[in-house]
Amino acid sequence: MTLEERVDALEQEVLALQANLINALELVRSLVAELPEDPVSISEQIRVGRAAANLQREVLAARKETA
Amino acid sequence: MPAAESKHERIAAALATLLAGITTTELDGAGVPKYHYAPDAVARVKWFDERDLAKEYEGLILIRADPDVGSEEAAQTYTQIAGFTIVYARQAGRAVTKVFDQDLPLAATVSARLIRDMKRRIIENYKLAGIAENTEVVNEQHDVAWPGWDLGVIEIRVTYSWAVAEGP
Repeated sequence: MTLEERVDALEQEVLALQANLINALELVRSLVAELPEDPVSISEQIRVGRAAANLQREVLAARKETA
Repeated sequence: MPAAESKHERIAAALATLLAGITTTELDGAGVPKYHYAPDAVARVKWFDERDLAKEYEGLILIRADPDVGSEEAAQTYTQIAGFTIVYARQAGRAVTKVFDQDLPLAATVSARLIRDMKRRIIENYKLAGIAENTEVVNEQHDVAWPGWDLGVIEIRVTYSWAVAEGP
């Protein structure tokens, strides 16, 4: 194998490794994307729900007043 | 003899005892089970900590006291309204975070059942063993979620009164 041929072979090997690396990075990205986000605490969910319920009550009361 | 516990404390304790009595064997007048599930434990907590959802319990009820407001309705007689938020958690056995999870029963169905069980138990015993004048369910939340669990949340208001002579 000539020196030029060896350089070509090494270049092909580097390209193949790069392709593998890109595939691996894409796999990691896709796995990270599937991870669930940290769930919002139960207390926070209740607090938000209560605020929404209070708002609904105000809307109902306002409707009654305007009816 | 120690001093008597406050009415608020007795109400909270009565509430815990009442909810601990939810069973799947109690039948209504038509011979149908009154409740869907029975809790393994009922606990009074200062705040809702997800770590309390212990894996050894399939069903767990957590009771937290909300602000209690009151006023003097008549001379020497006070009327107060105690608030409580109650979380009924049941192990789901499936990923509740999946939006379109069609495993039966649906997470939403279990939440509705948990809420119904609590409401029925409380409304049928609204005087809480005679300590309260009335108990209302003022809010119910079907949309609270935690991975691995189905949850039903209600907020109640307990009206009670006390005379100065007997103490709060």
